[in-house]
Amino acid sequence: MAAPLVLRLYIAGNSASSRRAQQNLERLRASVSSKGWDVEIIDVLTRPDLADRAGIIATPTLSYEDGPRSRRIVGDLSDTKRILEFMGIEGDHA
Amino acid sequence: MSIAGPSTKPAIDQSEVRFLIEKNADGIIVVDESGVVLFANPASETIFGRPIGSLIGSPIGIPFVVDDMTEISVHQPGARVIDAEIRTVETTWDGRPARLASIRDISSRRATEERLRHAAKMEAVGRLTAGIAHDFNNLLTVVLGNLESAMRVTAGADSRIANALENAARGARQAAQLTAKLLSFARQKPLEARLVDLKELISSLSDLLQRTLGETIVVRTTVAEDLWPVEVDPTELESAILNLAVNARDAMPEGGSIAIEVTNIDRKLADETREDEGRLGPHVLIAVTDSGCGMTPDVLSRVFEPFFTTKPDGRGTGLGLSQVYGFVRQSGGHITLSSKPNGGTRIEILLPKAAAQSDALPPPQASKQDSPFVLHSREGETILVVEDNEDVRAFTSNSLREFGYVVIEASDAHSALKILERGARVDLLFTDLGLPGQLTGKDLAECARAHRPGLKVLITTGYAGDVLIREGRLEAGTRLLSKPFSSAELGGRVRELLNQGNAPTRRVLVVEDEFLLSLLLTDMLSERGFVTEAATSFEEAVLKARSTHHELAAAVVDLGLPDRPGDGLVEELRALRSDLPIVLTTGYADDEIRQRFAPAARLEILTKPFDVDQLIAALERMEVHS
Repeated sequence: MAAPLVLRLYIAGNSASSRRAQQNLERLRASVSSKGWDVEIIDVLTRPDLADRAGIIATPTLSYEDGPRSRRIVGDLSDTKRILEFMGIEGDHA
Repeated sequence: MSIAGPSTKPAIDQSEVRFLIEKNADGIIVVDESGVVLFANPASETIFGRPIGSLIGSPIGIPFVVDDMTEISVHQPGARVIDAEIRTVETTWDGRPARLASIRDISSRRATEERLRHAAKMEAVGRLTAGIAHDFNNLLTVVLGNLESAMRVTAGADSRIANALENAARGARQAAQLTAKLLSFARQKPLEARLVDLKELISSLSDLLQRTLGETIVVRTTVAEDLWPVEVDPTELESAILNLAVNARDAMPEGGSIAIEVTNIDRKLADETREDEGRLGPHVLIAVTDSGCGMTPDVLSRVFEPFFTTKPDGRGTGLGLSQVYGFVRQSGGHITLSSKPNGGTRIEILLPKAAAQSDALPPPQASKQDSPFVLHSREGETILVVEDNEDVRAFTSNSLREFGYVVIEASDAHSALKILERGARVDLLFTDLGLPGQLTGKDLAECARAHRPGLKVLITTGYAGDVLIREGRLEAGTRLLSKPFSSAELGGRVRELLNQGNAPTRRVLVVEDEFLLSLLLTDMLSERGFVTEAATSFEEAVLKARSTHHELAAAVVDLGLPDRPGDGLVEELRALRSDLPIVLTTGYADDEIRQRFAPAARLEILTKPFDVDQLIAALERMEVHS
């Protein structure tokens, strides 16, 4: 992978689902070689402007920006396998 | 529902599925493979706070749901956040794979759960706090009492000793204030509720607030006309409002305004979407609003916890709002707090409208701080002290003896009752609330009153548990002294209670075996404002006299009693109370009796038949007035 992958996780403060999503994303990064990943966590409550610009209407939302393509998923990211598939990273995790 | 399909598998009619989706209370959307909304049902408008038109086409993202459902937050325009559950199934839309998702608003369920959890936590902290404070109060009673004794003993000696003792006592008194605050948070502080005129209380308080809060703070008070009465402890209410005002001031270092509004509010079920039934019905609302810096949700969720403070370097104890919370809940009211960072804070206290007839305590006649000169006992006044903690009992009894009272000690309710049953003179029962054995101090007071109606009772407690105080209030006729107390406070409270009895009691013992005549006499006397005790025999009269002779204003005795002659009863009564006014009634104008009793002081003979005026006149000749 040449250009770094930009992942943006939009969360809402300290809510349970926000915390779970962050933990799951951390686990995901640890389980795969995530050298080329750039993760940005955006709290919708403190940066409503950024959320607005990106058209975020629900959290947690993981947005995956790969060049011109932008895709996003909603949920607490607990389904690791499908998330990796979604990002096009096939099972080099254990 | 038409289960169609001519030959093979049954299927639900598509149009009915469509109908169900349109009418569903859950939001239902269809999202394509890249997370863009393709379809939204009407309920989605409410949940997302956006019209269907703007929802369709927006990139919400692909909902990934493990197991049954996942929780998400929905962000409506205007920064409103809703907790929601989302469920999905895979479907197709226009022949392409898509996801059908249902979204359910669970914010109100969440809020209820949160309130319950919060209430349970406060309850647990409260119990813990109350337990500690209670034990501390017992210890502080002993500490303060002994310090006072030491001060008396060393009076006039080395001033260094006097200073050291005074400092120690001051420290102990501060500790006592702290435990009082803890107890008021734990809702264990005995409240002396009475009918309060909020208009007066608030307006006198607002003067005080304006003066103490300084010029940079403007205090505006709006009190509605015809406020309903409420039944609260006025001192606690004042301190609660003061607390809120001081918090408000601290939130406005640059100055600002505090608005205090008091209005009647009568919430009907229809206005209320939540389950707070306690808030329905007539209440008086006291709202304190400031224009200060407000609070974040995190702070807001913890403000009522004891020792939680945002004030720097010991400027706050973290007990102010806890105290207010405890007081309001104990008074049967509710408190709510709303605040936004930089948006000010509004605190609403709802107090239930008091019932028209209230048995709340009348306002105390004497000031609480009597001068030490009037603390001393009158001749022979006897106090029964019931306390299981030996140190506290010793301190209490010694203090009372120093004031000149006769003190009888008991360590539990059982032995106290025995003393009362023996007929010993007891002018006042002073009992701890928590006593070993089955009976609490409150039960003891009730039993004692059954024997001796009108017995003065002073109950003391480190806290008031749930036994003393039903819904946090004192039964009428009982007074309370919170631990720790100083010997001056004890003496003052005892004297105050005993003095109240100096208003002449108007209880009259009526001894008459003729049923109808007895009825007539008691009616006559009741009409004139007397309280009567009726007895139909010599024996019964003696028993009743023994238990009530302190309160008796007079006795009306029939000469002809079934068991023993009434003239013997005169002697019995006089043995109990040498000065008791007695009206002797007789059907025979017996000269011998007249002669025998003529020289007796405070005795009148009435010949039957007599009328009410004659009876009252006879009583009045002995200075017994109704």
